[in-house]
Amino acid sequence: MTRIRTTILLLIALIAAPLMAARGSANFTTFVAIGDSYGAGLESGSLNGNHQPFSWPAVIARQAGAPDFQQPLITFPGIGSELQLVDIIHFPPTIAPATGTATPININLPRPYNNLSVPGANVSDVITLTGKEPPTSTARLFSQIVLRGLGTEVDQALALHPTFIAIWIGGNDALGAVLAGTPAVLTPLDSFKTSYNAMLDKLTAGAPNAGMVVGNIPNNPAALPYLTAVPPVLIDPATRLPVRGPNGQPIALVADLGGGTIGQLPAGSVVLLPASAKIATGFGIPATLAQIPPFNQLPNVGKPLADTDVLTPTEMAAIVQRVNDFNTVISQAAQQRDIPVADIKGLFDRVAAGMFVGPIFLNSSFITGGVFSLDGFHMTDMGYTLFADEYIKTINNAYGTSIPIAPLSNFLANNISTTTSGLVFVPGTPFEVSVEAAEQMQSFAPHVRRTRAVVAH
Amino acid sequence: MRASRLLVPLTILMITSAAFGSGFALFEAGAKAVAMGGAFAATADDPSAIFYNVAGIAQQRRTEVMFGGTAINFQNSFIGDPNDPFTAGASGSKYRAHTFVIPNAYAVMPLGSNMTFGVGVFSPFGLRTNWQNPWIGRFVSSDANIKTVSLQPSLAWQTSDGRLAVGAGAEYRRGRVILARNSGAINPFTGRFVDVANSYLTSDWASKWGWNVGILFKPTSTWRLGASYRAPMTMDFKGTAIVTPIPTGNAQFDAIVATQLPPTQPVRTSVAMPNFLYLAAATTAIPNWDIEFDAVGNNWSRFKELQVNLLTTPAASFTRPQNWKNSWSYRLGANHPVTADWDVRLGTLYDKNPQPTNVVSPLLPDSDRIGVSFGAGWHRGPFVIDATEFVLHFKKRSTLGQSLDNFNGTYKTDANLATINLGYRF
Repeated sequence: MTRIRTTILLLIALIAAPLMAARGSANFTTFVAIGDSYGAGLESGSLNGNHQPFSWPAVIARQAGAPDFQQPLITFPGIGSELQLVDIIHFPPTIAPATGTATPININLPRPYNNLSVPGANVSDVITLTGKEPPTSTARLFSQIVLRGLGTEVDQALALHPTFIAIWIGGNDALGAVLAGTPAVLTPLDSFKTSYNAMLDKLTAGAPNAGMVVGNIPNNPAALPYLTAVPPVLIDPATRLPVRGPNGQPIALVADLGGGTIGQLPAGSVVLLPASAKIATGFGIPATLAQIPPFNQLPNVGKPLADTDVLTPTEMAAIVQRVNDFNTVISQAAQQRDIPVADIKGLFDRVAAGMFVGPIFLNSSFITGGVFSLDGFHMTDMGYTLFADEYIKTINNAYGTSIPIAPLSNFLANNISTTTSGLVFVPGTPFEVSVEAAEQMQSFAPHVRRTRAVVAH
Repeated sequence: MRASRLLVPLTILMITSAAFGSGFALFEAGAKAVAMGGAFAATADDPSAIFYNVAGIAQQRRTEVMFGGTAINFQNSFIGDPNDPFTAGASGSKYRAHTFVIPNAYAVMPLGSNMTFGVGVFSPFGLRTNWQNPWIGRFVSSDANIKTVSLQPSLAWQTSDGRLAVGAGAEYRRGRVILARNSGAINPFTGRFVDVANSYLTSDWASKWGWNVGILFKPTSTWRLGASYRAPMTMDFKGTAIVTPIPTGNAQFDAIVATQLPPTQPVRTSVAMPNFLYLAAATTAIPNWDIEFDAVGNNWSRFKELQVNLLTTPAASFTRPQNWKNSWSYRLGANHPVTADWDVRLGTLYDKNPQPTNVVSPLLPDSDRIGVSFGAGWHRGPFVIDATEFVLHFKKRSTLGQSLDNFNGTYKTDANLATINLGYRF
């Protein structure tokens, strides 16, 4: 009997235990976040207070009930004026920055922010930038606002005596290469590994009892509109369909394929989103089409796209491989320190494939996909919420907590009146009645039947 | 017959319904039967036998008319699945406050010494799930309404000693379906999910003939056995799909949406309704108590899908899989005469739901049900009054994250049903 009871207790303990060991505890009394522009809630090219409440750390803080979670808030239109959709009727859609002056709201907070995410930061930046550096890069510019010369992201996080630390860093170590159109600027693997481990060593030493979570990095080129919105083939602006060559095949755009080699883009190439403006003037369109309308109206037909406008399959493969290597580093570093890893890569894979969240269909389409904002690589409020939910699920699994995930039903506009379903407004009366009652009235009084035409559905 | 001609249109005007048997089957066809938890196929001693076991009218040797109805009120709620990225945290959603009424009317008339003719009007199926807005499930279903009303002329015969009776009825069933839901899309100007259109599918009244038979056998002076069978039916509905754009506040987006919405157009759909099989035993072995047990089966496996065909834009047609299972409910009831004029009744039932977890939805969130009923009957001279209170608890039903509609959560439902019937015996 004793053996049976022991076995049962052991089984119960196994079932009840979190799926993996995790350091510290999920105590959100003092919650800090270390990250980059995703963590900051940068959206449509702008950091502003309309979207910062949806940064993934802010969503986690809200869901976990973390008190006094402070972010470096900026008034609209933000630093980097927010891109806004102006015209979607005509092709191509018009996107323009909002006008106005942005102002920091709580720049004088007499303590470090809880959300220390610095847009543009890579792994080494979180242990080196303090905000005192001259603004020679995106990260250095934003660190003046976020870090304010008070120390690095890691130092300031520890200064708050955190009880829980959430980290997502490393995206820019790969994304920089994507934005630049060349894998040459990828962070070297050794450097990434050294910086990542140094960051975690410092955090675990400085906050030995804090719970922690990190996340891996997406490697799916199809997940980012920045890489998919502009097809690598010529599009007829009238039909919005590929222009076909003599044999019916799409006509590949022409670009510098690297080292000055000019040629048509091989299959599997990607054209970066900003190149769309150049293509609209004729760049990338083969010279053989220079006399054919409507391309003969474009001044730059026959001129190739720059190497930095495109990524060839070889370049893409190099970036993907490096991200895979980064993820290995993250996985190993986290495992060594009992830190759970949120599967952000998996989230991006699902988005790339297209997914329903309730009635909401989400994918990586530019403008309409719902996950990525108008700059093509930062997320939307909904996207960051899904990001945060991945972290929350990971925390719950690792720590046995039940922090509620943030639902996308929060993003229902609810642009409905109570008459959109089930109720009928009968002209001439001050009342709304049920459909059923209206039907019965119609049965009794045929002249009311006309009200069917105004059923407000 | 004259009475039935009057009662039928009255009933059609009154008819409104909700789902209270397994699936969307209804069994609230008479106050005495409901008071006995629906265990009535071996008793079948009032005109509502036309619904429960048509053979039962053979033992009714006086002309009688009876009519009444059941008033139903819901208490329900939807609670979002804490692990669902859309519904997590949702709570408080419920049906619109509404009292549903299921009417019934019957007339029986003996023909000679062994035969009885009867006609009844009742509602064998019905469903109404009409959610209060802003209801986050409105993109799955905001209103579902299936109404049926049946007119059933019946004939039953019993042996001279009254130990065996058989009966049959021809059921003329009319039905109507209404389905409503919204469509939504991400507004690229705001990044929010907006309602862009409401689809309101309303059918005309369809009709179809069916049949039913019953048998009632009294092997001893204290035992009765009953069985009845009501044939399944698939009703084909013609109607109109009214598609109404919902303004989003952005003219450009509204213009794009308008180009993509299907127009208002003719629509066709079918609803497979199952059979009813009653197997019943009753005894008066305990003095002054009449106790009955029924097992009632429905072959809900016929309800494989709800297919909505749009005729103008067939590509917008849709099919919602259902794949229901056959189900049984078990009912126990008792009738206890306390005076020459008064009876008191008790009943209980357990209704096993036929709906697979993955198709539990706002359209019909079915679940196993437990009910308790009590009632009283008063009869003096030609007058009969039966009244019943019936409390029905639906077991909490979760979609367990399996919803085919991507709409996960838990549904809680309770209902209160009050039935009254008035009868007059000539």
